[in-house]
Amino acid sequence: MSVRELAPSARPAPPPGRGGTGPIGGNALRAGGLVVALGALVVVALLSVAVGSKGIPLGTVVHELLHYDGSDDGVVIRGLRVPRTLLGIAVGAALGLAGALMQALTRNPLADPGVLGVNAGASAAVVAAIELLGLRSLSAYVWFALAGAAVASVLVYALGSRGRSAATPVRLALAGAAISSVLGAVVNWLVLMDQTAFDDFRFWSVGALAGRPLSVLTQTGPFLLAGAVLALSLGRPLNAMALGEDSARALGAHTGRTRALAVLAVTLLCGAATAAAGPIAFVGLAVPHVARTVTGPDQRWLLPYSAVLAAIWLLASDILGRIIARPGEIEVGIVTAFVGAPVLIWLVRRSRGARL
Amino acid sequence: MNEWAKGPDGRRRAVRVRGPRGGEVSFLLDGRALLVCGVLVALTLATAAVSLSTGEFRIPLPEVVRTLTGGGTSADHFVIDTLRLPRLLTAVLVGAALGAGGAVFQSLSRNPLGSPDVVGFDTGAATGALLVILVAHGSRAEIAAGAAVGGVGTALAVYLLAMRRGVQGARLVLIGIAIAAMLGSVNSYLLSRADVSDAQTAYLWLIGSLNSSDWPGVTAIGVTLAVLLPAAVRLGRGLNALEMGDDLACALGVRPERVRFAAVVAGVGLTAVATSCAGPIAFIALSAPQIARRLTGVPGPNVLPAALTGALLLSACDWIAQQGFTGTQLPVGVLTSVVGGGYLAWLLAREWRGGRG
Amino acid sequence: MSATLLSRPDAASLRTDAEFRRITAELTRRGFLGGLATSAALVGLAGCGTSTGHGGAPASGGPWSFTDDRGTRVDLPARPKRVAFLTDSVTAALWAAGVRPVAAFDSGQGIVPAVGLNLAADKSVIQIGNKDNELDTEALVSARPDLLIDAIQADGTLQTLSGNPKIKDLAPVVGIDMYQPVEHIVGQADRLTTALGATPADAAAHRAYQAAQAKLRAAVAANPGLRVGFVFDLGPNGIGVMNPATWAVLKTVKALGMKLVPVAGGKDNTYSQAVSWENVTGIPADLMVWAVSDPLPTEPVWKRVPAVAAGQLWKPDIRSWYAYSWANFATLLEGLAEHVASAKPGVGPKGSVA
Repeated sequence: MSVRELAPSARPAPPPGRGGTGPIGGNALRAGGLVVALGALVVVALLSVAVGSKGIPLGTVVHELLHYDGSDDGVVIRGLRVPRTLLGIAVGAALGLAGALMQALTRNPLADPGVLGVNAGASAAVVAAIELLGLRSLSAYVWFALAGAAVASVLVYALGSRGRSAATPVRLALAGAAISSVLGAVVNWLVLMDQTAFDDFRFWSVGALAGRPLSVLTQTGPFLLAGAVLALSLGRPLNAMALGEDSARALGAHTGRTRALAVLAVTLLCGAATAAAGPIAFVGLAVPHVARTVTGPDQRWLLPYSAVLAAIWLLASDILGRIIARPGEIEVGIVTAFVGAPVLIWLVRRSRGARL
Repeated sequence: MNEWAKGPDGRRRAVRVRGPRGGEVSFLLDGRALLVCGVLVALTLATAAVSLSTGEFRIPLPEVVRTLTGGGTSADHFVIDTLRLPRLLTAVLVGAALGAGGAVFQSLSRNPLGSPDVVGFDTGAATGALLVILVAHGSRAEIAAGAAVGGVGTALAVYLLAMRRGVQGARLVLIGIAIAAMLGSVNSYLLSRADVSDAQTAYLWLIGSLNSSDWPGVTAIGVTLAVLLPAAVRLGRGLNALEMGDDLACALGVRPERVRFAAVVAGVGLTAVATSCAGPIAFIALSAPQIARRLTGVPGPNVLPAALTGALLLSACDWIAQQGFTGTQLPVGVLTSVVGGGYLAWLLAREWRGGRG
Repeated sequence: MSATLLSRPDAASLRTDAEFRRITAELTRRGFLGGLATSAALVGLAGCGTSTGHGGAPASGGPWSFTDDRGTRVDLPARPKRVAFLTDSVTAALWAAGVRPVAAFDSGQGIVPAVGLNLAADKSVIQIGNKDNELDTEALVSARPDLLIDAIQADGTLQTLSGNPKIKDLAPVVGIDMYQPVEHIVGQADRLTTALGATPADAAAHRAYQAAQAKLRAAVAANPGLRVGFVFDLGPNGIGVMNPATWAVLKTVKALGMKLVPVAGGKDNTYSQAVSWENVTGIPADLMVWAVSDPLPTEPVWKRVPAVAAGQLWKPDIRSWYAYSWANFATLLEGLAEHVASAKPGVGPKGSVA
């Protein structure tokens, strides 16, 4: 984890517009926008089934979806494209939710889920599985990545919240930097000692949707679902917390409990997403910024928007990665930042700045 | 000419030094800071003696001295002159540059995690180095140049992209993150597509290692330090004033824009040459200024104590990394990550115990 | 994407195995002296090429000289007695040929043990390789070598020397080009062995190699339409098809007439062509050789690859593929000959991978 992502900022997020005064304005409009976004997600998902590194005519695609005949094309569509599309939606939504939560939690628009040490923990556990136990299958990595993510975020939270006062955003960021640094060193040490482990790890460490069996989704699905439900239920208390600790308490919000639940949700979402697809950076950081231009700072809208937009972003990046390097592919973890960074830069330059 | 005066608390004394262009520069020194600097220098010298005399090829300390003064066997000369001495000097000088650069950036950003990486420096340097290692198969000097060009070029690009009716802090940082993420993808792509042995070499560079230190590198970092370290020390007072806010600094006769610009140039220059010599070694830039500030008890950037702390930290870490593990020479970056991360964790835990958290 | 900026867009030695991996370093740098035919290599072997060594003469005492594959001539006042091997493949090839070093490199990738050398147990040889694939320079100094032997990379530079330029001050360096067909590599090892005053140890194995070579040539001639793909695992990304213009093993069999699956980019695309799982059934190969010791893929699509479905798949024990010795390559060519003889042509799809 680099220190850059962890730069704490004393600047609190702008207070949420009570009653909805986002750029679109009005809950009806925002609900409409969400429906449009969901529609776009469906379109991208269909594209993801229809387009791949192998060119298959649309008619064949439809035929194989409706009447599976066991042909090569059928196996490609049902056995490869459908699972990775489902995985992309789940992982993308999880990363978007986790990112939005993390930015609300640390009141820092530059925070991403990596701040809690989730990626570092998952990576260390996977390397340990490769190096010490000799495991080499993706579905075996899943449990290790989940456990590593959980242990790391518990450590970060414990270190960041010791003492009378609860975890402050700056302390959480510092604790995350400390734990990530030590875990990163462990990873480097282990992979440098063994070229085989290094080779396996350098591919795992580039997040990808390809080649994951459907079992990866069933393994991580319950965690993703629990995390998503928890995250979406935190919108209102997070809105209160954005006003500052004291105001939140005056409004009757349980700040400590909200913070702990948000950390739990981020761990479940980001840990399970990393376990399923490997570390995918930047989506969690950037998508909430895009979503915020539509919804304004109201978490009740920001969270679902972030989930849907991140799923679209991830799937679209994955499709792009399949067609630019035929007959091979480029992993989605590489494409996301490349596609997303210009969008974010454009947004940042366009905005008046105050909204950051 | 130097002129001594009693400081505000009676213990500290402002030292007035006539600057090279006739301007007056003053900074705070006190007995404790001087003592700390002396102890740091002594410890670094002790580390140097131990580093030069230990290793797989056995040379006792008297032989080391004899070799350095012209005697000794040709094998002794090879080991000392070609292997250990340039490595030790690189560790000391790179550590000093990182410590001083870190002190400048932390003071400038008023943030204990402030670093040139905020504007994408490290990621850009890595991209430059990886392109030279993996695509162009360049020499060591070319790798160093690639890293410096990549780092400085990225920082400049981020700065220009963030410029729109002035540069705003938040916009700068966000664009820095976006560009760094993009270059990070390039780095991942290069690493994952390269031959595994090449990739391992590149990965070693990314962690930060002193294994391939040589005399040209020592010269480069030495000249950089000779120019920029005094400049950074002289900026100390201005930076100290800036930490209190621009208005107060103006009232004290400091011109904020000029100090800030000079500090960025000095900080980036020190970090760039250090990184191009040894790769992005973690946490020295972060922890050395923090340690130095606590040791001296003096507020402000503490550039010189930070540089000395960095020199001691890196040379000691490198000795442990070389000698502490059998069967491998650990790249020093692995050890500095553990030490730095552990230090930060300890600091957090201690501040809680002290009731200050 | 900036793929065009990269010289090796699909270069992928991904997820290869220990033996395979280490050798990648020595064999698969950029470019290649492409298309050097076996015959040309054999000319070099016969001494008409670069050899000016006072080689064959076992009598020592006088000055010693040796011209290596780069054309660089090393001159010494006497025949060197303390030789150091700087890479895994150099260690394996020269140990098999009969040279006994004072220091040798083994990064633990399994290449060196494939010629029966266990450096951990053999206390007479100083181990100068680290587990992290780095040279232990001080251990090399302590061995007091008077000759260093390194591998030559495709661009003509030396593999270990290029990363450790300082050691050139220790002793002169002889390079062995590892980008050549096997006959040339092992032939150079034998020539150097003779020049160092030893007798090439595996004359019987050399005869076995020649017999296996004849057998494979005959098998290929009898089955002229058969297309062979040497492939390896890219994990979730698919599989890689090895580039015939690069690998020593592939160059060796190609010289015997074997028809190999071509890859896009030819010699510019140094290592291999990455093929995603969606496209693996389209690889135009009738016989697949699984060229790593990773287990076969579990991906369901793999079983639908025509050659695999027809049972025309060989998963050899490849531990020795990158330890260049007559004995190891006699075994390899022998096994290939059997599979070429029994495989049916025309099983795989038409067309090309790219």
